[in-house]
Amino acid sequence: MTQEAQGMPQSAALGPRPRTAVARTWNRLRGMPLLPLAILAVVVFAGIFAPFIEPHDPDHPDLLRNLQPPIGFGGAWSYPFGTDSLGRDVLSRLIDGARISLFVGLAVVIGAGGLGTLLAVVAGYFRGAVDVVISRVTDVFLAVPFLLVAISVVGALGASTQNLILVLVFMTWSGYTRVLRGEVLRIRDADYVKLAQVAGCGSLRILGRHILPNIVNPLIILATLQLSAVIIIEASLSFLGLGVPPPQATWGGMLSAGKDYIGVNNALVILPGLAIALTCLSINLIGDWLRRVLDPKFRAL
Amino acid sequence: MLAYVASRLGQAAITILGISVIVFALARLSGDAGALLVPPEATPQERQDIRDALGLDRPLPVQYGIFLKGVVTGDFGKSFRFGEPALEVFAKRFPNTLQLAAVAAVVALLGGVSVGVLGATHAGGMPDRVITIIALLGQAVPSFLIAIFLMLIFSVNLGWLPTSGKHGTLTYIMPAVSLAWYSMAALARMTRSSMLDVMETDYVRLARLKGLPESRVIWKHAFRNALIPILTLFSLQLIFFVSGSVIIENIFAWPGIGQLTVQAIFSRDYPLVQTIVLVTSSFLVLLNVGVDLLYAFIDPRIRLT
Repeated sequence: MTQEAQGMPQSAALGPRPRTAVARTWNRLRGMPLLPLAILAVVVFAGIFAPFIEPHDPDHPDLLRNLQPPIGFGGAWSYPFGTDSLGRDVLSRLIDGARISLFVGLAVVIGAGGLGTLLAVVAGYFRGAVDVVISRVTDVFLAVPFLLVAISVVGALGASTQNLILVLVFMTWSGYTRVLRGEVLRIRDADYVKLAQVAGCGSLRILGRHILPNIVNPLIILATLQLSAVIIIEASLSFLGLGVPPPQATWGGMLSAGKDYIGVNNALVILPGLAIALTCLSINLIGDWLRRVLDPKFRAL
Repeated sequence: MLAYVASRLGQAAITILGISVIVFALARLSGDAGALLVPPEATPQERQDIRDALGLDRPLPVQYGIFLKGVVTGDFGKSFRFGEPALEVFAKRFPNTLQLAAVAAVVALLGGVSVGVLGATHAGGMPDRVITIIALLGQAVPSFLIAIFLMLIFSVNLGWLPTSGKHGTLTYIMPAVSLAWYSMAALARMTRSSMLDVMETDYVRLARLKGLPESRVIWKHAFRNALIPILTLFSLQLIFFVSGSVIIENIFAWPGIGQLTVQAIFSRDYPLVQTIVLVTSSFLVLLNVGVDLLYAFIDPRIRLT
């Protein structure tokens, strides 16, 4: 699968143009990371429709039915992935966890991406003193040991979903600013921007029509990279008890609770572990593919 | 060179000052700083004394000045939990973290490089495919997950390795491997691509044409020239070995500052949290500057950019 994902787009692009529409569609599909897209689609579907597809209430404990094994290991169909130490349904909690992972991931990517892009555009387009200040602040944030500062800030504010998102946005916008500022600087000097200035376009029009559309591709690539990173960080913080607070089901929190039952019911760590790994692996593979498709300059990396 | 050294040191000073602002703000974020910075069992008189000493009733800039003065003179306040100066508590634990980080760094470098070279010399073959998959997993699987799976396999199922603590060589294995995991994958990927680039060059072809044995071509001619990007990536990862310990140490009950941080946060021991974050961050920032200067010394082109 990985070989396909890496090898096909080039050959699809360079090969002779297929004759029939079916062959053309097939060629385009072959270049896509289909399995990762399918896995991510399942996770997104589960996240969006969580309340409707969860077989049980994810937070409802039932001590009489605790620590049941999954199907295939002696479990019953009523709890396909078994139950945790409090008797809560693991499948329902995994689905609920998908929802919170995606929500935190998207919120942070939108927040940090928005803030980072705004600062990059202001610094790169207007230059001068503004640029110097923004660039220095960006350097500071890039040099801060992120995890250590993030957990202490979350600890001081108190663990909540909102605080988690705010802290992660506050700590991660700098990556976007660093990369995109360079892009803006480059585009600003392009002939078409100079022409637009000569033709009498205002700054806003140049920013909106010429600069922003040209940094969308690197922005999408950065956002995909960050999405899987944020999902991992959220899981790590929830694992330490400093992320999304219980009883809300999160993959990291499930792992943290499940690790006390290693040897008793290993499914409690294996299932949320697989959920995190498959989701992040899919996002990374889709990101690699997007990078090849959207940005010829990055292909060599 | 001197200008470069000065500019990098200046930048580091600004960064550390920036971190000190964040650390200072930490205790003030949650409302009443007095409630966080004064031990819970203090009498009203002691409470007032500490409030006066920290200037908690005065404007924020003055408080920051007092805080900064304490930091410069090495006075970080007393840890509530340990009843000792926070800096001493930190100093007792920090070597443990550094030892683990050093072992993990060696594991990552040796593992990543050998796996990467193996991939490059067998490009397209079976070892290469396995390595590509491992490298992808390395970036998608969080380190705490690796830690748990290692524990599941080697402690619970096989019973070969102890699960926690720091006593003897065996206890280093699982924490170091989980901490090294991510970097090892990244280094393997970088080594592979860097080696592949170098193997295409004329001097490697010439070495082969001369009839040198393959191992000599690979290690003496190709690998030496592929080393620079690998070392660059490795230097970027150094920070990670210390800051990643926050998670790993808590899983394996490793008595370092990662475990101490989380304990301090949960017991609301703010003087200690402030000390750990500020001193560790400064250490890492300076480490980075050291690496940068070393690079500038080795490669004069860097000073110009």
